[in-house]
Formats: sequence, C-alpha cells, structure tokens
Amino acid sequence: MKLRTSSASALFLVPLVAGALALPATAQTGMNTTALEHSVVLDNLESPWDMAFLADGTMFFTEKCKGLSVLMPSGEVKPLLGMSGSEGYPSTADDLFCEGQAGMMGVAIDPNFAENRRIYVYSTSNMVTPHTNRLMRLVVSEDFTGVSDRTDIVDDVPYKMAASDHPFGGPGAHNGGRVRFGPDGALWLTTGDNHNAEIPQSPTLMGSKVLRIDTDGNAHPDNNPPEGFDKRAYTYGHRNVQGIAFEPATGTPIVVEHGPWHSDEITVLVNGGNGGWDPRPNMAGRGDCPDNYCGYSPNQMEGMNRYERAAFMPMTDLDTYPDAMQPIWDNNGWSQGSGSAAFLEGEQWGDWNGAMVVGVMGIGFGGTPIGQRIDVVELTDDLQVEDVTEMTLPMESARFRSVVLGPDGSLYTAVDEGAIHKLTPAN
Amino acid sequence: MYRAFILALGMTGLAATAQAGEADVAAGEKAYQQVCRNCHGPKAQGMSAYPKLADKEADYLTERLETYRAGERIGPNSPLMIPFAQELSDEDIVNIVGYITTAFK
Repeated sequence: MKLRTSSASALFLVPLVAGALALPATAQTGMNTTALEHSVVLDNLESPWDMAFLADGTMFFTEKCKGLSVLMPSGEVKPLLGMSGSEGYPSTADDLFCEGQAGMMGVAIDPNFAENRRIYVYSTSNMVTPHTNRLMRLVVSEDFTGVSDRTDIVDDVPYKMAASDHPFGGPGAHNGGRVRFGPDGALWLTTGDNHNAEIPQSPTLMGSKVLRIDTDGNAHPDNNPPEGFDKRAYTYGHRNVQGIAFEPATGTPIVVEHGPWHSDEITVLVNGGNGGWDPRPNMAGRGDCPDNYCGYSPNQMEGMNRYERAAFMPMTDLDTYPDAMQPIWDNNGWSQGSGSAAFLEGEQWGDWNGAMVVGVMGIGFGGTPIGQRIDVVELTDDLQVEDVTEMTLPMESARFRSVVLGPDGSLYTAVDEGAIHKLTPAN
Repeated sequence: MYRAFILALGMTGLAATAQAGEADVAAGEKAYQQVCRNCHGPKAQGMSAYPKLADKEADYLTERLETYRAGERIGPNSPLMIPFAQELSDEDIVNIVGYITTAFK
C-alpha cells in the first residue's frame, strides 16, 4: 500500500487545475463544497478496469490484460486468476484474452459472499468462435489465494472479431463491461454494440443491452422487454454502456455511456426501455455508411460540429423511437468518454451526499476538449440533473475508468494510467 | 488541448534550439507529457486501445509520425493521430521520439 498522501483545499487548487486543462468541458454552475485528501492505493498496474469491496476493505480488482487480483486490508496483493499469457497467478484461464478495448473488465461481489464466497467477473473469451464476452461466476478460496468453480453464467455477449473502417475500428470495440448488484439483489451487466449496426435494436443479440439476471444467469422475472426479446434484457438500444449506478433513495438504475463523437449520456433506465441508438444504414434519412455502420457518420475521420453530427446520427433517436428513454445529461453535446458512475453516500460528503459521480476518460478528437475529469452530478428528486460540478482533484487528471464508493465512505477511482486512487473528504 | 500543445512547443523555444537529428529531450518531454500522454500514458506504457510506445524503436516511431503527418491512415486510431501529427515539424518529431526512446528504457 502506498503511503503518498496529499490534501489541499478546493479553493487553492482551482487555478492549478484550470491551468492544466485546455478548456472547460461542462457547464459548471456549482461549487466544490469539500476539500479532498488523496492517496494512491495501488500503482504500477496495467490498465486497471474495475474494483469491488468487501465490508472490511478487501478490494478485488481487474487489470484488462492480466487478470483478477485482490488487495487485502493488510496491504498485501494476492493474484487470483490470470488471463492467457499472464504470469504470477495461481491459475490462468487460457481462453481469456485482451484485444483493443476488450479484456477483463467488470467485477462484482455476491451480496451473500460471506456464505458462498462468490464473485462475478466479465471478460472476453476465445472459448468459441466467434469469440464472446462472458460473465463468469467464481468461488474465492477462504484464504484469498485462488478461485475455483468457474461457471459462465452469461456466455453470449458478442465480441468484435475483425477490424472495420471506423475510428477505433480495431477488433474488440464496444463491449460495455460494468457488473453490479442492484439494491434489489439482482445482478446487472452492461454491454456494447461492437460497431455492429444490427446489435442495438436486435431482440436476441445481447450487445447494446443492460441485462438484469440472477446469479445463475437467468432473466429477472420482472424484466419487461418488448415481445420477442431475450428476457434477460432490462433495456436495449444502447451504444456502449460502461457505467451503471443505483440512486440510493429509490434504487433506480442510471447508466452512463460513451457518445459517438458527440453526446455522452446519462440515462435513467426504464424497465423494457429503448436507448434509441440505431446506427443501421438506410435508416432515419441516412444512406450507406462505411462497413454498414453509421455510428460515426457523417465525416467519421475528421472533426465536425457536434450538433450537426447529432442531427445526422443521434445518440437517442427520438424521431424514429419517440418512446425512447431520453437522457438527462448529454455532456454539453461533447463525447469525451464518460464511462463509470457511482453515488456518493455519507455525511462526510457534505452537500454532495447523494450526488452521482461520473468518471470521464477524455478523448480530444476534432477540437473536443479532452476533458479527463470526475463530474459531480446532483439530481433532483425526480431524477433530473440539477447541477454538474467538476470535482477539484488533489491529483493529476487521468483516464478515469472506474469510480467506486468504498466501505470507508471514500471514493476510489481506477485510471488507465495504471493506478487506483482514493479520494476522501477532509474534515 | 491542441492549442495547449502548440503553446508548449512555443514556450520551449523548440524550433530555435533543436537541430534535425539531434533531439532536445527536454522539449520532447514537454510535448509528450502535454499531449501524447493523454492516450499513450505518462510512461508511454499504452492505455485502453492506445498502443504502448516505450518498447518501440526510434525508426518505427519516426516513420509512424511522418506517415500520420502525411495524412495517411495506418490504423484504427488514425483520426486521432493525423491532426496532431500534421502540426509537427521535423524537429518536433526528433525531440518527441528522442524523449520516448530514452526516458522509458
């Protein structure tokens, strides 16, 4: 465990952070209300993707191309399950691999872990061809030295096998990847569109969906997708959902997803709802598109006014799907890689108690401000956005891949640069 | 970000100090850490779908930057790389490559 710790008042840091960013990226009508202490929990990691905590602070974490490990309260890191080619793990699963955006992603702990020792990990697998993304159930040994009894409870989330003529068009694009237990005890998994235009509105392909299932992978009995849909789908018609969190007062699921060169979105999910993403050619006034996917059209390789883009290829197409779930936030029309979400809970967060935080990785294409940051999104009682404040960070900005509230009430964030940070309100 | 990059280059007096073939590593570091690190990482270790650079040879890095600068697409991240590379002088490329190939070995 690293001991490097810093703290600073929000007011002192404002000019420093403002100077480090090229342009402000969001409307900032709020004020920072807390000062944050910062420490590095782990560094020298390889693309850490997600974390999950036990009540005593034990932290499971994934690295995209390496595997699953656990940080014990003592500070000891114990590797648990390696991917193909990984070294130093007690066991490896040789079908698990990484490519592009794909690899080992989300992790969640069973609410009954104390009894069943189960955790859930989402990873890309080449067990079959075409390859798939899988949600695995694993049993952790009593001494946290290994996992066993792997059961793939979801084995059919599609994976992009071949490169296509698109930005970020390599294999492995758009897998979603977040895994969380909701307050109802159900298991939730978010997926992505693979740059495959047929997936988002497909009733049976399990990309571009938010799945609500049990711990055996069965559909939640109350899921209400349209007739003919796979019953595991809670919602469909998404682009690439990497963030999901549950509003504490109501338990309502809220997702955060990347936009296509425009319009990152926060959306309050409705059971059976359509996210309104449909990048098929010859739809909604569009003609043919490169490799039959209009997701970055028009003018996909060059900068362009984001509102013109949004008019041509909307993230939420309310003309075609008037009943689609409307986003409550669109990042001022920018796409900057919003990819994770959590709620701040506890009196230590002051006025931010109950607010949502969104991790933004930053992209910086075509004149877009890169925008690496954590936004604090305050919601009204009816779950509309009341205020958005960029968190003043006592650390450098980074590609914020994951945000998780720890059992100690601190906010933990994994960054692609290779670290997991802890942010704690200072008294 | 882009304007910040140009500003960083100007502040270092890069054009006046660097000679072709002789890297001003400090200028390369400033340029790299201002822009390139946002995708390739502060240690050129690669992040997400952005490749690792720390293990690449100078000839490879130079050829890639020159190809992007010419506007040629050579991979899935070309739309991100081409606009940045097109603003680089020969000296800028020498400096950035000089930094990457010396700082992370």
